[in-house]
Amino acid sequence: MEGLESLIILLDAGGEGPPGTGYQLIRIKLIRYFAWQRCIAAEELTDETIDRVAKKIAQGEEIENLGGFFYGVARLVLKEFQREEQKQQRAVANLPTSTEEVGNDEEDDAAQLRRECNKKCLKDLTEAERDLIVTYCQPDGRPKKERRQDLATKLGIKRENLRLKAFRIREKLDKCVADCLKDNDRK
Amino acid sequence: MLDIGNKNSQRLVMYLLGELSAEERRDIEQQYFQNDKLFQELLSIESDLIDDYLNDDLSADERRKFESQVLSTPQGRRKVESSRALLSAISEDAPKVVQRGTNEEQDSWWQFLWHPVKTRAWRFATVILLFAGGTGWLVVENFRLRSQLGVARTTSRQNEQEVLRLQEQVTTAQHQRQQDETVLRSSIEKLNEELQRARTDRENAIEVARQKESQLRENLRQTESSTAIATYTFPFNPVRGTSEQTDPLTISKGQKTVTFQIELGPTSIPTFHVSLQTVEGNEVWGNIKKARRTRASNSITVGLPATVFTSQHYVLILTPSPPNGQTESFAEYSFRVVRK
Repeated sequence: MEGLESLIILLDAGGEGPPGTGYQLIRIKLIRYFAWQRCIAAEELTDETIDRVAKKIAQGEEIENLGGFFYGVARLVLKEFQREEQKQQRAVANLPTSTEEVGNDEEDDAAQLRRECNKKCLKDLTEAERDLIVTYCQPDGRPKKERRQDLATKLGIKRENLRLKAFRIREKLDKCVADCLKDNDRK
Repeated sequence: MLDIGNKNSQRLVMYLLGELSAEERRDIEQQYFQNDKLFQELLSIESDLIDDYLNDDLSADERRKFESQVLSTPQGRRKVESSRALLSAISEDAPKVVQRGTNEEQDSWWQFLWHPVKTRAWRFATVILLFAGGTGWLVVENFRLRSQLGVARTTSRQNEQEVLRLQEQVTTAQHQRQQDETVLRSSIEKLNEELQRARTDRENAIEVARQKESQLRENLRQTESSTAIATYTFPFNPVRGTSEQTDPLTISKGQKTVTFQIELGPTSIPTFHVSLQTVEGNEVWGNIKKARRTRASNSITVGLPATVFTSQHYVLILTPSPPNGQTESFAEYSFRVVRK
């Protein structure tokens, strides 16, 4: 526990945002890293990695490059997992079924609920944010490159920055949707 | 096909689709673990990639790789489901736009109107509806443009006022600058006048000093001439007896003092009685004098007022003092004085 507290403090050092932001960010990085390695147990391996780093800190190890250290430990944890996986001959995760078209009659309750939450959260955005994300994501018959370049020009920014802006709005939406789904679970 | 922009972004797409070598993957992973901005860019590119997948914008090869890489994990599937829900919500609530055709045959709206199945009434109703819609749109657009024009006019008036205000400020600043320049010029002129006065004073002072110096020199010359000293040297005579000096002592009119320089030769006698006598033996002047010893010689210097002398012969007699038991004088000099 002591190591974890020290780790959280170290991760927040020099960063902006409320306490714990650094910890959340490294957690997301680790989960994505393991997922991009096609690991089905990304969250478990993330916890394992964080525990190991926290232990090292509790033992008094001085770490100069924390990001690099996390990566090193994550690679080690991944290798161990892959060896174990091969040993136990785990099955590869199933590929998804069909990609559903909009308005398909066979959508399940969870998807329906998620869609309703997205609608609600879209309404909670500012008008500028909503216009941006809708124009960014919604096809309009023109090539996507042309549509997005027009939008970037209209906003007076580069296309790369437009992508990041859209992504940040989506992160906001994801958080709103997650809260919405939780509220529905409680009901 | 994917269109993701610059080379760095394309490299990140290849990372997400599993198209990079192990070394290239490690390089990117090291970077995003240490660089939060790069990680965010990667997430945004993944988000775009998922949208492209859902909108069927990937090639067959890209689609296959996406499904293998992203949809093979619960996290990847959750992200795809989230994006699917968002795109559905957007398409249901956002203004309807024309959907791009995929592999299916899709009628254009024009074909939809003029499909032979539809009745003439239907077409007429559609045309009326379009006309009404167009008119309504024109009215709304007109109102919007008028509103924009009003705002633009207000803005233009405000800008004009701002320009006037700035012009006034410029004028005031120019006026102030002119005043400051006038004051500065006046100050410079005053300073120049003072400088000129100071120069004149200095020149005057120099002239006065020169005059004083000249006067001082004159005074000094006169003083020097009034205190001019006649010096007479008596060389050392190793032979006992009176030494006859060949050159006379010449005393000029302005000379007030006569100095005798008497060379004693090698002697250890410290003090002498110096007596100036006439040839007849009358002492005109007498005094005790200490010998001055230098490395080279011993000597006595005697200073006498010039008034003591008249034009005649004199004898200068040196006798050790106190007497050393000898009655003989140490040295005797005979010389003639000429007064001019």
